[in-house]
Amino acid sequence: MASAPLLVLLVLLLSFPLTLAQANAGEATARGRQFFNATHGNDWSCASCHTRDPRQPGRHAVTGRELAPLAPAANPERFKDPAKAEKWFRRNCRDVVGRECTAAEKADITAWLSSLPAEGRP
Amino acid sequence: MNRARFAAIALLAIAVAPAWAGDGANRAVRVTPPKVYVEECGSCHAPYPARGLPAASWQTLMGGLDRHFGTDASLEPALAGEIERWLQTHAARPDGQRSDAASPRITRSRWFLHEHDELPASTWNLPAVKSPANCGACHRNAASGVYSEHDVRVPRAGARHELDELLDAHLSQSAALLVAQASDDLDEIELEHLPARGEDRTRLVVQVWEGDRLHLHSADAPNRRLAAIAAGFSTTTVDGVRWRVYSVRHPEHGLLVQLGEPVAAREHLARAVPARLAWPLLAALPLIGLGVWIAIGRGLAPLQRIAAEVGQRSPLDTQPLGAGDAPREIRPLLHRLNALFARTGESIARERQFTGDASHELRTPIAAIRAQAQVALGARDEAERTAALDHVVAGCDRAARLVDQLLVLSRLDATAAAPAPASVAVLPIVREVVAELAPQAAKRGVAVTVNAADEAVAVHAEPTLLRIVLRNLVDNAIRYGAHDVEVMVSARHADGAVTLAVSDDGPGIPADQRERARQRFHRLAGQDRGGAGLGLAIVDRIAAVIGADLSLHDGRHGRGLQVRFRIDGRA
Repeated sequence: MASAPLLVLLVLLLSFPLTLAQANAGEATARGRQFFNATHGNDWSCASCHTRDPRQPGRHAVTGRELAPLAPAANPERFKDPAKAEKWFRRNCRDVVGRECTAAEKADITAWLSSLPAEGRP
Repeated sequence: MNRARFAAIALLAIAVAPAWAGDGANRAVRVTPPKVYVEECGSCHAPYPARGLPAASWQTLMGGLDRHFGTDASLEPALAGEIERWLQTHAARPDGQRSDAASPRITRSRWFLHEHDELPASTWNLPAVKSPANCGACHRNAASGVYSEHDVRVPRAGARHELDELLDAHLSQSAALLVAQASDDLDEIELEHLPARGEDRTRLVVQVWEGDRLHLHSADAPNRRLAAIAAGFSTTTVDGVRWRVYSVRHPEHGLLVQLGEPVAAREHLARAVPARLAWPLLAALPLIGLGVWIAIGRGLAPLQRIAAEVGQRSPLDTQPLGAGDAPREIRPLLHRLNALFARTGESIARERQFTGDASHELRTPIAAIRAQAQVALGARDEAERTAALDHVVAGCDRAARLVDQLLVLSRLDATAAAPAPASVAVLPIVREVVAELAPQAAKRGVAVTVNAADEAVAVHAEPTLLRIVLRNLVDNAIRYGAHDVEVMVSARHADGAVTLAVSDDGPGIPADQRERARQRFHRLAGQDRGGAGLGLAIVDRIAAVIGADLSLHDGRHGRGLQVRFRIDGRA
């Protein structure tokens, strides 16, 4: 099988950018987690309503209404509808950060939320 | 028994714990909102009923969604318009509400307060409720915008919740104290009065944050921030420890003070308090039970004593039961029982006297018959024997009459006062009795006359008893009268009473002996006409049975005797 070393090489070559992407993804999830739990100079963080573990049901900080879990691992409906996700980013970022979030910030948060496994520490 | 009752009531009072069953029932608000309203507005709070606010207030709210009670709730204009149209269509009448125009709140509207006025204020602070805005805590279909009184279930306040409230209050007070202390110089904040956790289970830790820098903290406080929020209560997990945190900003320095208490310490307290309360209660329960047992036993002791006393009685013992220490509840029963014993005693005495008298009276004619029979046996000639045998026959007749009368009396004694039967005409019975006794009257040469004012006089009485009365009275009159006897029947129309009066012209009965003449076997001194002295006694007894009135008077023209038997018209 002369093609075997070739295949190994191909796998190695392909996995290199994947490893880079994984490294980037690791940084993004860390930033997302930090952004999620920070108060950004105001009274609220995202965790105020969604809790520090977004796989748990949250509670609206003012009205007390129960909120479905935010992490896709616990609630597959999340981030399915881009328009809905955008609407809530727009509203909630203005509540928490005082402005709309940048595309990078939204990417970080989404990365962290999507990276959360079904169990384990957030 | 009073004591027993008191003890039982006390036990009940202990057993029935004060349990407030909050079952609020609100009137129905059955307007199903459109899907877009439930989706958009219902994401952050229950889709509130449109009739909670007047149209003008809804317009204000929908116009400022980007600053909606401190949050951005902005919507696409098309959606917002659709929702606003629905809200305005079903809004409250403008006059019925009084809301703050700038930020109208349903929970402050007169309508809302009226609908919830039966709830105690503490309901709003329950952890499951948190806020009057949290409709879904009680209205189970609030998430779909349906508010029906059938769907309401108010959560109950548990003891744990009360404890949490108390500890929360303590937490916020301590925080306020810290902030007040620190108003001069925050670096000199006194942490000494917050004892370390190891010492005596006092549990508070404090962090003072300057931005993201931990400015100051108590020895046991973690280095990471206790709570994300900067005001009020929150429950968080930091480094694997769950904390109840109260956060407050210092008004001048802008520093954030966070006071934390481990949830585990609260849970320990929540377990320890009931346990400490339960032990004395568990220890007291057997004592209470023993006390109740003794109290009931002592309370019921007189009853048992009376039961034993009644059980040991001989059938002829008619002494009253002692009511000395008897409980008040059974005294009426004892009085009735004693009255029954008294009546039974009288009855027994009467029976004894009757039996004694009757046996004596029966022995007398039998002795006479025996004597005459012996005379007949020893007679030497026919005339003497015939005369003796005549006496035997007469003696047998007397004995037979006596037995008849005794039988009547014993039957009457067994007769209780019976309800009056149908009306019966008196005169036919009078004539019948007089005709029966006619031979006896003829033999003694006594004339019997009957006088009646009204042929149709009638009484409510048993005809048999009436016949016995008349036969005895007329028989007596014939026996003791000299020449003539009058039977008079008269009716008083005023009250319908009927009087039978039987008069004779014999020796009569002196007034002072008339009462005794009614008694059984009583015979007047010096009378020699035979008889056992039962006739008047029988009439007297019948009078008692049918509720009539028997009285003895002087006869006509001051001679002889008149016996009146008056039957009440209503009887």
